[in-house]
Amino acid sequence: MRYILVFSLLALIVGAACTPRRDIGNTLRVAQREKIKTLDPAHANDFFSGTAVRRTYEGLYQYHYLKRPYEVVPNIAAAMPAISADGKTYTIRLKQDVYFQDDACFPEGKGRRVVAKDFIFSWMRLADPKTASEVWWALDGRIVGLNEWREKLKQGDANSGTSHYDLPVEGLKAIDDFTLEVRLTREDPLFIHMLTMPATTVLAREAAEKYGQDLTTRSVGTGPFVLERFEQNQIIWTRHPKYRLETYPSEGEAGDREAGLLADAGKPIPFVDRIIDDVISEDQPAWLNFQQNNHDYLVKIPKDNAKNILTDDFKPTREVSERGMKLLSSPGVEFSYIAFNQTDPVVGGPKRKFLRQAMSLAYDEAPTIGMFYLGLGKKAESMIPPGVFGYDSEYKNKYREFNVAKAQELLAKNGFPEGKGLPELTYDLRSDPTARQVAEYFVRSMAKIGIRIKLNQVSWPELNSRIAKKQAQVWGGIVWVYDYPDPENGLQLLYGPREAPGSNKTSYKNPAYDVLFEKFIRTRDDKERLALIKRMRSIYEEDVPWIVAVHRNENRLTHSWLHNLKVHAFEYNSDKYLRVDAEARKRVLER
Amino acid sequence: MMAFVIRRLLYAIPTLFGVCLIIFTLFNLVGGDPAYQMLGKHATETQILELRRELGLDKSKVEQFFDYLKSVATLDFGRSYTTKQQITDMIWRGMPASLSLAIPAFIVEILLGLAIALLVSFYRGTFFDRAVVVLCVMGMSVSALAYILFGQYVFAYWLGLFPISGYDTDILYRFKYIALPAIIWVVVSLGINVRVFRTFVLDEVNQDYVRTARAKGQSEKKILFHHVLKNALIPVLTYVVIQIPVLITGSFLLENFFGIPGLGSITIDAIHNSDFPVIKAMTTIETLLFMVFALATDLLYSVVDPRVRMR
Repeated sequence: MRYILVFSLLALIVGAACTPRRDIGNTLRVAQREKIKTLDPAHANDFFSGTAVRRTYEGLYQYHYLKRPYEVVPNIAAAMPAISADGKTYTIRLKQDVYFQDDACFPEGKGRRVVAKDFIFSWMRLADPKTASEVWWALDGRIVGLNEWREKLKQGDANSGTSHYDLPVEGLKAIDDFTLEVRLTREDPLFIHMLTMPATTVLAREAAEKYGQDLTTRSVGTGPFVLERFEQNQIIWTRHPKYRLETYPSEGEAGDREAGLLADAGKPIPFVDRIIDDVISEDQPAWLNFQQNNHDYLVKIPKDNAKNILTDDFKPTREVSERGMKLLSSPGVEFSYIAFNQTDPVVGGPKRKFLRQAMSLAYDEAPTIGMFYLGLGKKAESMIPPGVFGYDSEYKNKYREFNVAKAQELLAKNGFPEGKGLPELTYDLRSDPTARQVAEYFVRSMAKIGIRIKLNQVSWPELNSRIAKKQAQVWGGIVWVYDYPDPENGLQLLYGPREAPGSNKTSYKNPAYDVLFEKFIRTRDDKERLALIKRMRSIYEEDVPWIVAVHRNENRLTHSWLHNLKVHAFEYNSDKYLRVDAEARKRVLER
Repeated sequence: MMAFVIRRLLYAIPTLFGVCLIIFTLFNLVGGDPAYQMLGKHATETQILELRRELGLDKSKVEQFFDYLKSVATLDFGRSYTTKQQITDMIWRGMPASLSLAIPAFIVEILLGLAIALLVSFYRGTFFDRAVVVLCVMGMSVSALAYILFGQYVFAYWLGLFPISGYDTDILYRFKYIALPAIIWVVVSLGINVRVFRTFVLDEVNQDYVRTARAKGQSEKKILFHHVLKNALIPVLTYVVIQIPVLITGSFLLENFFGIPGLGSITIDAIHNSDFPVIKAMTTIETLLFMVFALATDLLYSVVDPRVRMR
């Protein structure tokens, strides 16, 4: 028996080692750091699902791949929309050479041309209560008649015998096959951003009717890639053979040409024939696979292996440089924060403003960037991150300087000299190492001014529930990632009517702020918008509903044979621009 | 025998009811509200209410519990809150991956553990026996995570003997992906298995029938491998069969680190996402399997030991 066992083990090892490596040719191999939950545009509410959706589904607009600040450009639309004088009617012309991928849902399995009605169907599907879309918010309240249509369906009011999708929606009209007219409920400068999102991409009615909820693992889009296989741990895409002629951008921002990002200007995209997404959520296998050249780029630098990637002064190590790997790091459009529940009697409301100001002053942010974010980030002064209109690099939040003496003074002013009389506060956090580290550092910082804090570590779903139900008192380790590059996406987080469980999680209420915000979302003039941003900023700076912490960087590690990668916070389908030098990669793999 | 089987199957009903009650209570206490989790950061009060209604979360807890029992009784768990996939499809897709890893690893783990246990029992009290016991204790004291990190770094990355992670539906390629996690599984389990099996064997060594065999002049080798092993098989069988449901539902850590799309990682994701339909499906299946295999163990006793009769 012993011999059999030894033999089996040896056979296992030898067999494993000798299995041939398959030739991958012009394939892009990516390590996705989280599972792809869905391929259905109506349910893609996270970055990884959004990326997968945009491989195969396309919307009317997209963000320019290279230009910064981010600029909306046409995708399926033939041009930018014609907007009426009152800003409420958008007339959008569609390209006439856009086809759905071949699929059994179409007659004879041949994908048909995309027409304006397809967008109307896709958006109605998003609004359909039966779809229970997580991303319905993108169109909620924006299009004339769409919410009313949704209400009708909820009340079971649809005409029997007629599909509810055949009922008209007042604000959505196909003028002809290639012209779509959208009427908005109000002047809405943000609407164009909604048309870049995975949620508003076009889906064929035939596909929705044939596959229903199974669209979560299938896809019938118009995009550059066709789904070949969907597994929990791996997704494979192949080039869409009938993809229209789209080209690599010919313009970028300063420095792009020098960085080689315009070398492929004007060439047809996509460049790669195939994409293999390997889902690798753990740091060690992600990093080891990348080092072993199994992936062409890596999203998210594995913290546990940071010492192999970055030196003590946060520059790429010699090994990384010698192997031709590149670290691409640019400011993420996001901010992290420590929040105060404004309905909590101890930390919330105008009466405890000085307490919150004191806590903000006692929290020294600068060291945390090196400690928790590999030095790749920037201390936040406001909710508006770099790269978004209204970001002011000169602006200093007066309560974000580190000043213990002033903090103690304010604490005493609020009736808690040296923290005396203030009950122990509870800080909620999710089960995550970085969240824990940030929390411990916060506890230590507050102890210096006499504030005692008890940590309450819970699961992510439980933390969400506690915040939404206004049960959490103070919480942190959370990041707001912008959905689109407009300051509204950050500023709305303090808009009173959106209190928890809405996006205003702190349930902050200040009527003066709300009035300014309501004016802001209707304003198109940049100068006026900037003035409003400054006024809103001065209000929340004083009230400190939260301590804005860090703008983390978006980081990518790439190999030398991968070209055209530029970190983009909103263009989910960047992979269509990437080019792999397969020969160079093969030489490295054969070494 | 038939009466015994029927009685045991009837006992399963209150057991399953109890498990359902515990899972339901725990989920409602610490699981968070799935509606908040699903709708994400832009959720409004109205949307949350609508989704709760859609998911049946607006019903009373008693009604929700009866819905849960109904889904257990019909084995229809519906769709996952997170992925919207049919849960039965998810399970059928995940099970081959979990079993591909678990079956070879488990067989080797048990056979190797038993072989070493017999060997050290044969040399009981010697330096060899003590050395193996010490090694087993040391092996058991090291976390499984340490074995995984070490194995992945040394054997996959440094020596290049195995792929670092991955899985292939093609069985030829799959083999190379599951080899390293399977070996780590065996190593992690070996310490405890050898110790347990050694105890089972040594319990038998002091029995009367062993003294009788010695008195009859049989060799130590024959006594151990012929008589002792046969009698030690009853506790071994209990120990082995009761682990089988866990094999089917997957190894969380190994699947996660090696990118194996098995049931373990499905369960972990469900817990992270407050995906109650998946959680209840996985717990129900594990409970049912546990009860079935416990019954199978009892039935096998009579095969291994004719003295055992089922009443």
